[in-house]
Amino acid sequence: MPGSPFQSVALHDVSLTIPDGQFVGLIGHTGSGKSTLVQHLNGLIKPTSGEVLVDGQSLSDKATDLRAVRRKVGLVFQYPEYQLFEETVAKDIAFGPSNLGLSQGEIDERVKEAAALVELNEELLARSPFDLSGGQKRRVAIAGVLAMRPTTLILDEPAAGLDPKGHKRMMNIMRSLHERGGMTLVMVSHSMSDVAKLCSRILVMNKGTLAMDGSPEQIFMLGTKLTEMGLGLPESAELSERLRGEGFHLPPDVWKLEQLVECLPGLLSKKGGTGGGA
Amino acid sequence: MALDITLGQFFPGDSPLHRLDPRAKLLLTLSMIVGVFLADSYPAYAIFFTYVLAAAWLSGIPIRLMLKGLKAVYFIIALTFVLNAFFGTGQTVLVRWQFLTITREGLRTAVFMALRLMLLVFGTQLLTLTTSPIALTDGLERLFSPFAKVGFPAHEMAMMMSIALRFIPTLLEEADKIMKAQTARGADFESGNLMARAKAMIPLLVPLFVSAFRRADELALAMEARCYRGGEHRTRLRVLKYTALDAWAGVSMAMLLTLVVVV
Amino acid sequence: MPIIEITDACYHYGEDKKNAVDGVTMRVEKGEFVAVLGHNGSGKSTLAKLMNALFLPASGRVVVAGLDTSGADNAWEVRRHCGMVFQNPDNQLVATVVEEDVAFGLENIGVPSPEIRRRVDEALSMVGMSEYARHAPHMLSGGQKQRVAIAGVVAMRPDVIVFDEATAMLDPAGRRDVMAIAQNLNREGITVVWITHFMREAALANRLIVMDRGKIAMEGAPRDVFSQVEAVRALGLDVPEMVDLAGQLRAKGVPLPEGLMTVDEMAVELCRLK
Repeated sequence: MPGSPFQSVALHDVSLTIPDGQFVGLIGHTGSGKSTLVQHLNGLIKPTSGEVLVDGQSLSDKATDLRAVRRKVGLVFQYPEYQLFEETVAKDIAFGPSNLGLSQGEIDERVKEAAALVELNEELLARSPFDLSGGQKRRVAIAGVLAMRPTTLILDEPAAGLDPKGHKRMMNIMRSLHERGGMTLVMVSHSMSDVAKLCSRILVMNKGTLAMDGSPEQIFMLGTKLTEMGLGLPESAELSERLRGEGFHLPPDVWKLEQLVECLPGLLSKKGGTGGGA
Repeated sequence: MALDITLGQFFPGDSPLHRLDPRAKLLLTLSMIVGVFLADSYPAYAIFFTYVLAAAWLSGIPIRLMLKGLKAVYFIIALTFVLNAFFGTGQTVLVRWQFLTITREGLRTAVFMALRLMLLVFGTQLLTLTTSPIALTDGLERLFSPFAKVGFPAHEMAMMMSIALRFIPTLLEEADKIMKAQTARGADFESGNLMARAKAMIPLLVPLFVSAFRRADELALAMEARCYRGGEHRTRLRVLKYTALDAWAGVSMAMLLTLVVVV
Repeated sequence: MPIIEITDACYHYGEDKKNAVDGVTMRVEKGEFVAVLGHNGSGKSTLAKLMNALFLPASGRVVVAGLDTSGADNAWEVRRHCGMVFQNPDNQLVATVVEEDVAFGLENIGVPSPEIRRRVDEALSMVGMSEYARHAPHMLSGGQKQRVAIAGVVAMRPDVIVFDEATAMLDPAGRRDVMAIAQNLNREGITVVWITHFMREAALANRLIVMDRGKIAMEGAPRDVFSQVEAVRALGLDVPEMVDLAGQLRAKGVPLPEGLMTVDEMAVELCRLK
């Protein structure tokens, strides 16, 4: 059965721990179980066996206040801009905080704060969300979740459908949420490139289970396995592997474009000029 | 959940009932409904039931599925029976207890009403179980198309129904996603009085409506891009053709109705 | 005669003062695979809709297969020559059953019933969806839906197919599938106009047109366009990673030739310089 956003893919044997403040990338082909896994993290789906602990509390425990968990663990679905409904951008962002029973003053503050976090111009706050561009709408939707002040934020393909400029901006927002906001972030993506550039840890899902768990460099060393799973490497990583295969002495942690620009000239001028092949 | 919504509970198969032209089936169902109200004696209902059960057997559809459909109306049937039995008018009193009276006539009416309901449900179920939604809309369109000449929008109606059927699962999925997203922001769709719940629906309904309108817009453009300009001069992939089977079915219905009226 | 000829076309939406397409002149020759690249708002989708008469130019001319799109009643004829695949896989499928949807266009143009059957089967086989003929569309993945949509257009046997950001909402596997089908169709002689903002896809075209603010900003073979890294960046787009790498290495004195776009090409060149 095909890739509708919430297809029930069975998960099996998934064990992992995400420490505070980590930026985790979750990657896998459609149907690998990424969306299913992610919906377990805030209790939208309960596991049939095993348990999910958030800050030490089990989500299967009846005593756990799921609403409080959802305040702490924010979840932004794919194409979140389709959930906007209020008359003004400010009101839509305020929806979450107002459900928390905060004072108007607190709400206003949070709205401004959230808008700033997603680089949303303050003058847009009074406009109708339906007047905005796709990329702006998406940021409003994300702000709506940020206004709940979650400590952990999970985003399902935040850059889906955005053009290169929008994509770049979204990745920058992700980075600053992690670095400045100190949030724990989980980003689900199809782009190995995006995930490798931003995340210190990558989880690779395949057919309902966790196939790989490690840093980008560790994952890239298993390049052939990735291709088997229908995933690719970023082009610069692919090139690095190719060159290593051809005898270039690239340090194992080199895979980014900037690193290649640094290393390659040295490796070439050492050997270049010595003349034609043997 | 890629929702597998089999609307109208279509049960695919290759029985004689499945192979009947949808127009024939619609007309047969209509005739049956008329017939049900014409029947006015125990033998008549017995004949009717035999007919319907024979048709059900011919369709190859498991009985439990058909009984499932009856389940929904058990209550109504029981209620109708009780109301007519205890409060129906009549002369020959059978039982009297306090303010409750059961007369022979009342009882007879109660039984007939119950039987009628059962036949109606069974009969219309046979229609929806053996005819796919698209065949139904096709059949309706063809049946009504003569009226198009006097301005009845047969084609448009069929197109609307077909598009609605196509998008119901899609919109349901979207509604589900929106609900989950709003719940994640603290929305509460469950608790509170009627007013509170109605208000809580806004974050669900507004995006859904906006999305539906956007879809309609895009769909209209896509339809025009494929040269859609209304029902005039359209040909069809599937051409509905009456066959001998439909003739037999028609004859059998005519016989049924005659018997029912006469007996 | 070019299959599409656009002369100084302008178009604005409703009350907008600014033109979404602002004086565009271009042509598409039969058999070409032309990519139109641009950031959101550059006018590329508007341009696409001018090609099949969904929009009519406020000024200027659009001629498709010899027909002026603004001519009385030409729109329908134009759409038989120029088909379009849209971005949202869901919002272009109209029927409850896959093969009925593929038949939709043929029914609209009055193709006789047995011929419809033949063409539907042919089109579904072309896109690799024959086994899904009796399925309901909502059960399919995004890529599969797009393939059905393509079949629906292909069945009408147009001369040119415009793919309006047809892969934007798909996952990588779906994108690959749709791109492969488009290239196949092109090999069989169908002219393809590919609207996108993914430069990876645009790189596969014969010719690239880059749009910005309603006008054509750059035009040429992909290698030539992408080698102008600064200009492309300034237009809100990206260049392929290898082009970027080559440019930066050249700046540090590495003698790499122009026009390197793929990992393969780069690896070969670097090995030569080893």
